[in-house]
Amino acid sequence: MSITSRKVTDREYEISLGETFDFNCVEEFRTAYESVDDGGKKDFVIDFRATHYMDSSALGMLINMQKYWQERNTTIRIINTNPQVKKIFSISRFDKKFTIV
Amino acid sequence: MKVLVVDDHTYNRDLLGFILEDHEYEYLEANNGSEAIEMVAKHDDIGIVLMDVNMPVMDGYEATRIIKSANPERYIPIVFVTALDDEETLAKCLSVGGDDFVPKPINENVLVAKVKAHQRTAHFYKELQETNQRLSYHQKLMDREHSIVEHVFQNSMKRVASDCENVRFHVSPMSMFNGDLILVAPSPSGGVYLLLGDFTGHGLSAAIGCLPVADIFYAMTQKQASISTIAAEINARLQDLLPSNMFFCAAIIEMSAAGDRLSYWVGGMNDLLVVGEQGGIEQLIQAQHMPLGVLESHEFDDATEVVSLPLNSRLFIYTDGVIESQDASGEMFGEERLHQLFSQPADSYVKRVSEAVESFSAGGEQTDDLSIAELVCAPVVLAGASQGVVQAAYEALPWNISMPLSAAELSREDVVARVIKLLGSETQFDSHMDVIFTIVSELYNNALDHGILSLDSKLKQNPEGFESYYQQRGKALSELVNGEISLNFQLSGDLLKIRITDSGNGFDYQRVVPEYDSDNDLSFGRGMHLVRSFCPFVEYSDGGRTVEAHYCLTQ
Repeated sequence: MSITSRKVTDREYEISLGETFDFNCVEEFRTAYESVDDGGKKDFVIDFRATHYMDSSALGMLINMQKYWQERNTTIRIINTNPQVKKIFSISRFDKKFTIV
Repeated sequence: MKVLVVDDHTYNRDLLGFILEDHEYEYLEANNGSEAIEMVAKHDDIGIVLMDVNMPVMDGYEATRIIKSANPERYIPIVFVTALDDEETLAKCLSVGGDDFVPKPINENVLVAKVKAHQRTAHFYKELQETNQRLSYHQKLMDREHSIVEHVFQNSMKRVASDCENVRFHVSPMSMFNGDLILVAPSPSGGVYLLLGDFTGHGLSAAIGCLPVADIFYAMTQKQASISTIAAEINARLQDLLPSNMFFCAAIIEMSAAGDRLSYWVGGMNDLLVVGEQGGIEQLIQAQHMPLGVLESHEFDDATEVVSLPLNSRLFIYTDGVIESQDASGEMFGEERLHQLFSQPADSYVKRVSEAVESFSAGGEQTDDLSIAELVCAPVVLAGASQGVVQAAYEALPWNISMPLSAAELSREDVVARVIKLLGSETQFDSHMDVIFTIVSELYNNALDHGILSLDSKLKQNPEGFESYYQQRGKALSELVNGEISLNFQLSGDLLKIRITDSGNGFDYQRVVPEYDSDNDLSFGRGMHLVRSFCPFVEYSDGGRTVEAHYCLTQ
């Protein structure tokens, strides 16, 4: 599977993506953030270190994740984006919706 | 070995000669000092000289002086044979370089015992000389090999041209050959990697492991590998290479570009110190793991820890050499002394610690291998680095690729991935592939989803719809019988023209390309905005059946 997730602390979860993050990952990605839902507040870190390829469906998936958690004041941080992927985020103004570091 | 008998009286020479022959020594004769000098020069195998004192032409003193000074590399004991036994004569014999005396009249036992004794000494001398020659040969060989190894080491350790201003380190001169290692590399996302480690043992054999470690470190940091992956890879390689009594204590750290997040894997190292902005140790980070190179891959624990530290905190890392440095009385520097150095803030703790250890160990036993590093937790600044992507001069040949895909191929999930792999062979695309993927993926999926499959993006309006959209798409694709999409890529100069035509009924491309509103929360409708941002020219024609987009490689 190209997406892995692990518990960092009780609240913090890290989701690591594969080389390509597109519509083929829809189910896998949703499972990654829904399966850790125990009703509490969570902090997510999404690690893009391996990711080179993504398209607008990836943006959709991130929006859906945010919608799923938004009631519970959850933070979603996107880390280790390479310069080109970062550009895709900034063009889509995702840097306003998510913390991208 | 031959004995040279020097005497102006034939009788004396004969007497000495008989004694020597009786004891199976070969001997040569000289009439005076001058002849003796010539004989020694001519006969390499003269090992002892029996020298009379008073002779015509040249006396024994003068001859001894000359023989000794003319043959510094030969060990030729000179034994004076003399009836004179006053202190002055004896002292003079020694002061000109003589080694011993035999009194006249000659006592056979004494003479033979002395010759034997000097022969033994000469034998030891010769052995020593040979050993010295061998040693100095090996010393030279080793010096040369060291300088070659040093060259190789320096090149392999310092392959990253950029310096990271967040990292300061100090490596004592001998450390490298003792297996201490500090490596720093930028990560593609703007962060920085740091590795500090120490091989067990000393000397070149300990240092040899540095080479594969540096190789792996630089190759993997370039690919932005995770700390876990790097640690596991180094462990596996060292497991293969090193003998079982050798391993590598190391801390591997990655700091995010903003400097607010540290990931680390620490095995077998001293505690890492977290120092607050105003000084003071705020936290000790203990090694969670065994050193690298100990465990088999299947037993290896690659778990990394993540910590967020306040801005301008420092992380301080050091090898054993620091606390094991000894002063003149043999006392060690110790952890306590080290920790005290952090009670006050410093510009550079590396400087403070290295100076403190140096002055502490002045006069003590030289412990040469110590390595220390500090990492400042702040936005990463790379000096001398080419920020972003270096644009190579554009030299590609023009080409044109057409891919007519029929229904059977369209139902495959890997179409875009295949196309990207093919385009990836054009080296001029290297730093553009991520963006080209996005463009091709958007245009192709629009043609497929809306042109061929007539799916409606509105389905994606809520998360459930989002997923059912892709389920419908999968189902429709698996049942697809008719339909064609033709992909065309044309490269000329710095322009990549992408043209995609489908056999569908066309679609309302205006609706697929809505007015873009960055504040909307919809999970769709961003694709064409992305394409337009990257491509100066995008045009739909033929009722949405054809789209052409131009991407400029020099942008």
